[in-house]
Amino acid sequence: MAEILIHNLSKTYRASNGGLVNALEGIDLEVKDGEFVCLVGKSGCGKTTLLRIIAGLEQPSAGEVLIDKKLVGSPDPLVGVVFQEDRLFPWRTVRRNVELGLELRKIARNSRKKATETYLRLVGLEGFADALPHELSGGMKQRAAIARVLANEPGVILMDEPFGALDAQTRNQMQEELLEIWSKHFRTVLFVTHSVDEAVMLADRILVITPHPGHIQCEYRLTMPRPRERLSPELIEFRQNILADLNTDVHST
Amino acid sequence: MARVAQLQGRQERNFTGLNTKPKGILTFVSAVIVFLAKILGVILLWQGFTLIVHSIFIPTPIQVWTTFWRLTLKGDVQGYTLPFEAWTSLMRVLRGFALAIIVGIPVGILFGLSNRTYQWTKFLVEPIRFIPPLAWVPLVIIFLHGESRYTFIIWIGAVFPIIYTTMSGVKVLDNNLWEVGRVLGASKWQLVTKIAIPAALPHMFSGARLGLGIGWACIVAAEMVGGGNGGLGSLILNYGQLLQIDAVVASMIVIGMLGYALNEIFVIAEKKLFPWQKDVKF
Ligand SMILES: Nc1ncnc2c1ncn2[C@@H]1O[C@H](COP(=O)(O)OP(=O)(O)OP(=O)(O)O)[C@@H](O)[C@H]1O
Ligand SMILES: [Mg+2]
Repeated sequence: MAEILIHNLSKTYRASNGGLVNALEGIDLEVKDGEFVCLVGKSGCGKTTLLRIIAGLEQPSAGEVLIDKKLVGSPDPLVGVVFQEDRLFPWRTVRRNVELGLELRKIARNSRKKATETYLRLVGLEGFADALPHELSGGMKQRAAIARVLANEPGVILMDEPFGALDAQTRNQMQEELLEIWSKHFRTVLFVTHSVDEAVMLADRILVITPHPGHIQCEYRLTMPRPRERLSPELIEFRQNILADLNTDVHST
Repeated sequence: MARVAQLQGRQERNFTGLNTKPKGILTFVSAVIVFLAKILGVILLWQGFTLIVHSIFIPTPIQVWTTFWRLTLKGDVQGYTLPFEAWTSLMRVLRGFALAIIVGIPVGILFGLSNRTYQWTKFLVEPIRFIPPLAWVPLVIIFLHGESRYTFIIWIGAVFPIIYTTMSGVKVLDNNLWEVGRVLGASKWQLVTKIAIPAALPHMFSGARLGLGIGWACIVAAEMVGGGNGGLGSLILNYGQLLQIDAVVASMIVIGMLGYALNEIFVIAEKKLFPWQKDVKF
């Protein structure tokens, strides 16, 4: 359980041609304990950059990130990251991939085993525990990557387009599974996606990010109970409004 | 649960569908026929060549074949057989190779992890790498004795491919996996032992295979050092001096075949050990 606080965060990259890229500017954000927040925005608007800074993988140019009132400077196992690619270790079986975080933290073998089993079952991979990643489908790989993060029992989970590479049906199914896991374990989730459709299904709050420089354009609060009906009038309205926000930006630049 | 079972069922059906038996036997038989035909073709070409050139220094396939069996079963005038000589050479190569692994892999890991160390020692290591193993022979004769001479020549041939493939294996490590380690809370030491080294293992294996191949190919050079202490290399030199070219060619073929077999053993092991690695193995 944990909350995220971001103050006036900016990130400037030096491009290889010597110029400066303003990836993020003046980001202020507060994510409450147990909240499910989605970031939507066009390609290149800085979503991954923001997530990587929160994860401690990248340093901000200005501003600060606090998790549970502690300043983030480097990666912390209590902030879990699900990357856009599955990033499984090809030489480790699914089980040993899921176990990795616990192994690195030198958790005793017994409790490690128990936790691994629990989370493998949670993502429905118990039948593939001894398979190697290259023997899995894309969706199964992504589930294994999620189990690996969950097994570490982080207070915050950062997810960067985790379902981006999946087909529509698998994607919908993974969304349902993720919501189920989240509702049981009630962790703070920051979820990046291209898909407005995905965001309205998942989020308590949706932040629309627009580029040049990346900043939070507006936010939406969604209070409908889950599981949500994909084609309900409310969701359709949210979807249209958010899409309009994303598009106005195209005309203004 | 239901979904998992369904997936498994589908995989099994595919699997048995691909391995229907009659087809398997047919492919095997035709592969064997093609293989034999290729060998026959090479032998015929060789025979034709001897008919055209017609020199006493170019043995026919039959001459080499009979010499091969004579050397294999009866051996030379002193009674040393071809398998014995091959075994002698193999043991020498393996000794030099083992030493090359013991030195090459740690050095390769060190160079891969610390570019500084590599850059600092480059001025010394790089020139040595380009000195042919043969060039070491006079110094080796002066400074080393007995079997250690062979070990050194093979070692110097095998160690560099092992160092450099290991190094590049550690260096090309996917930054993505490194980040996963950091995010999951790995210490520096854990990043090396749990991520960098396992990730480089397939490269180390390839390096070992290349090193073994070069070590094996160094064998003639290595056995020039010792003079009369046997081995396939000295066999070639001795028969060469006697102008018994059929015996020379028979030994050359044995060297080539054994090298090929050693390499294949590694290739098969690599495919079994690292099934996710899809790179070309040669
Ligand atoms: N390491 C870097 N060096 C220089 N510029 C970078 C670097 N990383 C990102 N950028 C730039 O920062 C901006 C934001 O990139 P980022 O990857 O955060 O976008 P994104 O919103 O995640 O896009 P996508 O949806 O395509 O993943 C882009 O303009 C990109 O070119
Ligand atoms: Mg991105």
